[in-house]
Amino acid sequence: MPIAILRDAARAHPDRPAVVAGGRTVTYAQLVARSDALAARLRARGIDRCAIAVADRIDAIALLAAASAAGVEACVYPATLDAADIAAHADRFAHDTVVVDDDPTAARGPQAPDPAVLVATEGAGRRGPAGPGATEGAGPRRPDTGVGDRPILLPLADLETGSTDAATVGGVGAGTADAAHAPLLVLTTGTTGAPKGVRHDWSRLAAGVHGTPVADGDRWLLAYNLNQFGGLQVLLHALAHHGTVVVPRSSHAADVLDALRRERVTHLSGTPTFWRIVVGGLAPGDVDGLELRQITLGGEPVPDRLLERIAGLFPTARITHVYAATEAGTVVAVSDGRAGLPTTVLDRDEDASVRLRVADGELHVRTPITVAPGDGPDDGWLATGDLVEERDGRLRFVGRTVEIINVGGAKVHPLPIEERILAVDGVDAAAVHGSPNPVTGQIVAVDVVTAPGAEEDAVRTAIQRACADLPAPGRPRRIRFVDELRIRGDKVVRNPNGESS
Amino acid sequence: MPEAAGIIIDIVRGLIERRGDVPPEIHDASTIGDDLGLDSLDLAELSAALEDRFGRDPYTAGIVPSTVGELTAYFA
Repeated sequence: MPIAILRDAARAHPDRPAVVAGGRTVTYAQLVARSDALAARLRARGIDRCAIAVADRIDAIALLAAASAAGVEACVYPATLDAADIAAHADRFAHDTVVVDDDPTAARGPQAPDPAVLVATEGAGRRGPAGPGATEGAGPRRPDTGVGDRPILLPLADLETGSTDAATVGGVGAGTADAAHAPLLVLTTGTTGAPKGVRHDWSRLAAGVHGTPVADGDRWLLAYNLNQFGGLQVLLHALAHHGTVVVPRSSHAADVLDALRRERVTHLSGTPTFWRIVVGGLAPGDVDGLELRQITLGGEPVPDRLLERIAGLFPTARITHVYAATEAGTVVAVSDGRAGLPTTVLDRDEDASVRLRVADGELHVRTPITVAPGDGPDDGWLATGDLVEERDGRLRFVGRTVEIINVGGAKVHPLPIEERILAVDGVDAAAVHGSPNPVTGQIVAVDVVTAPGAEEDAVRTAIQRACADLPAPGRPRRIRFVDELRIRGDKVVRNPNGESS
Repeated sequence: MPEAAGIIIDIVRGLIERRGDVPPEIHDASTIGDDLGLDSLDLAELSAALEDRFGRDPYTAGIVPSTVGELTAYFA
């Protein structure tokens, strides 16, 4: 599906930059040409499903477009996987082919080389060229993983220079899927456990992208990785608007600001955690001259305080927070400056394409992505795991079902506590979670990052005071000061002990 | 281990002050429930604080001291 969007943009603006990353610029015409060439080689190799584990996001975008052109099901792996993780992912999601960087020892593009690939290649090398199944020189390598014979690591360079003649590699049946409905496997972030794979089709994802191309081209910062639903959304939106995707060197505030300024970025989308990091590092005057017009937050609940802070810094930008889930796509976008969703979202007609309801405090959604053919109006509902409470005409997010803290039988939601703590002077970031306890099963614990110069004892007392009127089980009983919160996929990990906590 | 006893008594005093009460004089014979009025959530917090401070605590070990003396003796 992105190939159709790309071709459309390339016809209109062949020389417009499609992606800018680490000083490299790729135009729409170049990206289409490369994607077509890669698509032919995917077909020739008989590949019908593949995972993408390349560090450079220009490469990843070209591979995604190529896969969609060839009708190949693509799946982008997280950038942080090591060799064993790649093998485990390939096993879990039944991927026979993982496209990896061609030269894992060289830094490519704006990102450091993926350490995963380094280790994978070393693993294959240790076995020696004469080992069973080993291949010398260019060609697929199998990592020595001990988890069966998956996956074949296919260096991107080999794919790009390989034959397009199907007969020479015996490829048959590749690209059997209708290219317009090429599937895409998207992995959930896994902040609350092992990632799950959710199969999407590009045309349905793209159907949610509205708007028309603008004359001079918007410039969208890609702050997410492309394994994330948010990253795919940014990519689709940018390309559908014939805009330019700008990849920062890293998600550190300084690199983000540098990219915003240098590439005159107009659209910036990120998780609240990402935004907190960016605006937390801003000094007065840092935002002067920035051209941001659209600011989007999604992937986690957005606190009022953060919305206010961003609005204060960027008074002319439109600020939208999006409620979306990998399994459901984009559900609601809110631009009224307030946190939570308006309760009117619950009042939609039976024939509305996106509907929401609350059952036992949990938000359920029904979207074109959750509905299967033949489903009636009562079918196709997805329990999101997000817990909400109705307050002042808004649905406020109070936590995830798996994040509920059970304190001596009292069920405690972490987010309202976290919001109180975030409002305390001297607190830069906080994550509330349950800590195992021999007396009450769990207690409310909080990891706190203090602002520079804040005094820990004073912050501790202020946090206790801010929470003193909460019901006793909801008061934090363990306050720990940490250098940074655990973050995965730009989202805060609230249960550091994994699923069991 | 008088130093540990002092730290423990400070933690207990802090719990009592935080609920808005003036801590009574605390000695070895003070009962944790009746004299000091610590409830199960206070004990949960005490257990976490002791573990953070000393790396172990009687509650995790399955011991529920009834007096301050028994509590401090665990760390002696």
